Amino acid sequence: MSFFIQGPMGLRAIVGIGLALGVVSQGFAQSEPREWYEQQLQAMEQRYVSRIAALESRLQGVEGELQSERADSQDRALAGQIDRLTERSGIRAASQSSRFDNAFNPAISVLGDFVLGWSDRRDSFNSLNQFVLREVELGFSGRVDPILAYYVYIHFDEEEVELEEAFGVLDQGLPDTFSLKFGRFNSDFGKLSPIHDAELPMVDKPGVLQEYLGGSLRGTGLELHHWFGLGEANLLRWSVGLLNSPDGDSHPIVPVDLGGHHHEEGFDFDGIGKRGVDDFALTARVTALFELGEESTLQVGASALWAPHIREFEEEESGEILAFDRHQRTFGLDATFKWRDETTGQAFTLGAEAFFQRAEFEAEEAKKKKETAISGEVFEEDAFGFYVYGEYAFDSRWSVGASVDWFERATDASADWWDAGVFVTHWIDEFNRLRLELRWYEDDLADDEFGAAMIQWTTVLGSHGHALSW
Amino acid sequence: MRIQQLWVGWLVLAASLAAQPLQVVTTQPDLADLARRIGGEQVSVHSLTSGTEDIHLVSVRPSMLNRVRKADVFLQIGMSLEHSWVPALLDAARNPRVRPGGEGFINGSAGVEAMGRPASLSRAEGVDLHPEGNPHYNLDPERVRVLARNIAAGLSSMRADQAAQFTANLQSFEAELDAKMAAWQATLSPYAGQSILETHDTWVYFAERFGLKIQARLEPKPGVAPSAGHLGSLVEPAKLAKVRVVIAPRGKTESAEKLAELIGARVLVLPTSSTTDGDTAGWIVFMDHVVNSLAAGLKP
Repeated sequence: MSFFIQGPMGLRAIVGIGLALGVVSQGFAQSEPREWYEQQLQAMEQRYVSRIAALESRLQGVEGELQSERADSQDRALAGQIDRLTERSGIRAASQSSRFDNAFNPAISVLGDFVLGWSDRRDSFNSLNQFVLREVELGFSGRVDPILAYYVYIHFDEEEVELEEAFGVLDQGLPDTFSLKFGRFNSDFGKLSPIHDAELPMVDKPGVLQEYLGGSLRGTGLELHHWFGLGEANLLRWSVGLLNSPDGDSHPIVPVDLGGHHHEEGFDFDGIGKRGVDDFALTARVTALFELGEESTLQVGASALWAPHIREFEEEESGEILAFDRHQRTFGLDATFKWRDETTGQAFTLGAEAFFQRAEFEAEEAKKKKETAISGEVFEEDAFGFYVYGEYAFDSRWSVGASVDWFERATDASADWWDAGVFVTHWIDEFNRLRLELRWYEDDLADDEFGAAMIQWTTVLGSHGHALSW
Repeated sequence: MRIQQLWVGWLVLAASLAAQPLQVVTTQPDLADLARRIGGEQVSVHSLTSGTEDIHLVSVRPSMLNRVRKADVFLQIGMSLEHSWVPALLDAARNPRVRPGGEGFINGSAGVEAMGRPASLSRAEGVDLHPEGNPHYNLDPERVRVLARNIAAGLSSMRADQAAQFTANLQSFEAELDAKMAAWQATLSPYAGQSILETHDTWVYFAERFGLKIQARLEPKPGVAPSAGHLGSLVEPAKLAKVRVVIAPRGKTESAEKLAELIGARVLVLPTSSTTDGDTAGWIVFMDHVVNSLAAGLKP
């Protein structure tokens, strides 16, 4: 065997001996002519020579691979040395996150809402027939840890800076589908109230929301949410909230009360006395979503606000501090039908909300109704209102809509307000939207009828999250 | 004796639970088809969309929440294709198994070689930018091979005792894919090098795989609507390149039809995924449809 592995020369020797033996044996065994044997011998020699050449070639290939492998091995050794040197080159790196590290910064967004409005409304100098930078909303959001997310929205306009919302949502730590919201936030009340002004289907929040809830019902407190399925295609969601007070906030271009920015607060002056359990306001909402097919849903809901003990303080000119204890109960019913062709973007939305409010008002407001009211006296008023809107989207860029809004004044149900309008919305793209709205208003309280035309240009910069509309 | 009976009862219960098929929820039908092929009887699969939607913009419905809430496996395309609805859906469904990082979450795009990663994440470059790259890799058979392997790996990690079966099913799919790939290349090879127009940045993987050239897009930037000026600027170059086909998505053909008329081309309305039912149900059938439609459209 060792003979075989000594290389091509050894192989040749074996082949030669084999050939000689073969020829001799054949010569003895057969008596064919010599010429025939010589031809056979030459043919065999050629075959074996070519096989030997092939084997030599393979051997050379193996030797080449071996050399290449040795070279690769050297390269790897060299690479290892370089890696080790590179590792050492980091010995002066801080290897700590900097105090100014931005790796864990929250998502940031900036929303700009710019409006040009014309109107023949009386005493509208401050908000109409001019350009209005209604809002620049600065938003921050991100996860605090695996179980908690946090959101901050700050409102800027040309006159004020306001913390709109700042809240945490414990959205992964609680059992089942429970989640807990805490901080200052738009309360889960009705369909359009929690939505920020710039994200509405129309320019302003419907007047009935401004009148009964102050626009967005906002407060500081806690809100517990939960949902569960009703069969395969439906679900029910509910929430309860506990707030310091039922504040409200909106920034309408055409407010139901003159003065522009509508901001209701639970008190007008530094409070006196001690807060009790009944100083908190309670909110609740239950809503069911029904899937009517692959393209349409129906949502119905009921909401309630119960503020048993709203304290308001007022300093009279005399320096005497008057305290008013009053209650407010507001109930809302809402229904929203949505149809959307997911292929073309064609869509239709029909939404309506109705509200009933029973509230007490202190004398100054009640005097609007009762001329004879005396300071400190509290009056109770029942009021009702609703809005209906419909919007048809031709595709994902163009839509037209109309809305009607009617309500009795919260402080004087004998006076009402109604308005009706049409609006055309064009999404230049996902972050750039134009809207034209024409609206007619009748205000009993101010004994005024007027029209308004508004052009709204809304833009979004930066990060954008998509939330569920439910 | 009672303790023994209890143990036997528990074992029977555990065995019956283990035998239940995995509830797999997918964002679109290609994924559902592959999950069925690879998972076989071990999976019960539901696609949240039917394949006719604009997958970028899907409205979340109550049934989707209920499905994801009960799912064992959630399967997505990824690369931010479903970013407008999947993150909110997964957050609200509150099913830790199928959230990113959970044992039942499968990102189909893992390991897929991406094309079209934006050089700059500025909306000056378009409003429909995908930082991870173009997400329409389901239009490339070779990248779908990677997707199928991801699904097999994900299912195997959930049901280790069935890994051999999943692997066998994967091999069977890949064998069919190899045969189909050869047929598709044979069908489209006569048209290699031909130029096409598309509406949105969708067909880049397909074009690269089959040697077609995307001459231009009707959207001037991703997610920006085609303007008359931009369409006008495409006319002469398209004529010079002898473009025969303008690809348009379902339901958004108006601009493509205008341009096609100006350059003497055909509008080809091509789906971008298979469907849950109809003529393009199943990914292989869908690709057959795409390849044959394109071949017919590109024919002089």
